[in-house]
Amino acid sequence: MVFRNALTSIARSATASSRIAVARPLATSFARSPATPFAALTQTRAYHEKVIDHYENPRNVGSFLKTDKNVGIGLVGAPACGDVMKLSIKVNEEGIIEDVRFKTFGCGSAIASSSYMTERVKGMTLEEAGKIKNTEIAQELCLPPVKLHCSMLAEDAIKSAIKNYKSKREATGNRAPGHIEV
Amino acid sequence: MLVVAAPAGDPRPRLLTSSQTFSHLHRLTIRPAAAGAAAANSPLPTFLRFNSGSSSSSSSSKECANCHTSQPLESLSCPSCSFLQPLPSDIDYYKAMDLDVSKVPKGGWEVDAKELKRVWRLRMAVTHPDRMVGRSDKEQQIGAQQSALINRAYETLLNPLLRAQYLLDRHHAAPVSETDSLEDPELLMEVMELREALEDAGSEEEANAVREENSQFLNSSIKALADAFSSNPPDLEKAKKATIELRYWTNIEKAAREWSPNDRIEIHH
Repeated sequence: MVFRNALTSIARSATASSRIAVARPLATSFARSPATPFAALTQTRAYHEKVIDHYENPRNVGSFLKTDKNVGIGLVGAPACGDVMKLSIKVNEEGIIEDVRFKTFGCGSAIASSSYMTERVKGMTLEEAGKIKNTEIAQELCLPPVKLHCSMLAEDAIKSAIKNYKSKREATGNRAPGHIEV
Repeated sequence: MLVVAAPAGDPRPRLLTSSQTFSHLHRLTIRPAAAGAAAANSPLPTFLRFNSGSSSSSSSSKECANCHTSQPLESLSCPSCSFLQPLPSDIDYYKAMDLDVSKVPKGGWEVDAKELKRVWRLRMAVTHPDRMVGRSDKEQQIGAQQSALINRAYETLLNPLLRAQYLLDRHHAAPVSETDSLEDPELLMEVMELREALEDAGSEEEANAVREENSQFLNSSIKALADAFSSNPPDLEKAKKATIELRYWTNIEKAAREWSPNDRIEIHH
């Protein structure tokens, strides 16, 4: 792996990729934390600090091997903006999501939504994870209305990953406790 | 008395009396003939506002505000008095670029890029800000509106992705909604692979390799669009699907072209 000088102070995630696929927030004025009322006023098209946090410090970047029988992979796209999101879950024999990874090529809100989703579902059962609504994500990240579809994409991604995992289990005829009928 | 340039076809310069000079125009507001051109003197519509062929203009011609000569909607300057004419903001982009859409092959898809550029240059010679020297303030405003619209028409018809979206809009196809989701596994896996390859690229050569691989997909989507639009009636479902794909390849092409070491891959909307 070639090490390159980081030109910015972006914290690199510990996983495989040496470069993170992210997007730059719009250059038009944003403040990390609006310390003064004036800073808040200049945020014309700003990303919320929580979104920026996920962008600068994404959690659980990467993926699992799709050949692994305990892995479910959700691959979804947003045709309106050309975003693509891959969410990989590793499920143990008790049906608990024991590990998650994400890879998103899209805007800051899409990255934050999927990053946050990975944090959220870790430790959940498949059933619980399938119940997460995009509105919870949007609320947590304070997404503006124009970016709601990014949280929808994350909801689609986890559902797609669960579906993929289940169809793999079904294909192998495996009815271990990790399998949950819906 | 004012000496003005001759109208087209008439070699004699015209002498205007003071009552015919432009001073009285300072009291006039430009009254565009078409309803849609109400926006002519206000901030320009956003770039992505596509205009349909069956325009909302209330008529198919307009009148010069200066001498009331009737002329086509796409006319830039009056054939009688050379006064600049506002363009309706919902003008047909093909008309704006001097094209008859019914004569453009593949249902309006196969636009000749060289010809388009030639027309654009000719139009810019009339309407570019640098050509506004000596024109009144009102005309300069009109010139600014015209050149912005001509530029938008040019870019839309030149760029395959924008042209596809414009043609879909013309055919009144349902636009791709923000809430639409895409689960086409083949497409998404390919996009993912290309994006990841670009992410792992350690040199410009490697980035170019991704770009070349991507261009295969880009060209095949362009071909699919040519096929879809040349059907009679046009296959809008096929065109819509190919447009979605084209957007992905176009974004990758841009990212690969702009690749540089130490850069985070950026996606701008």
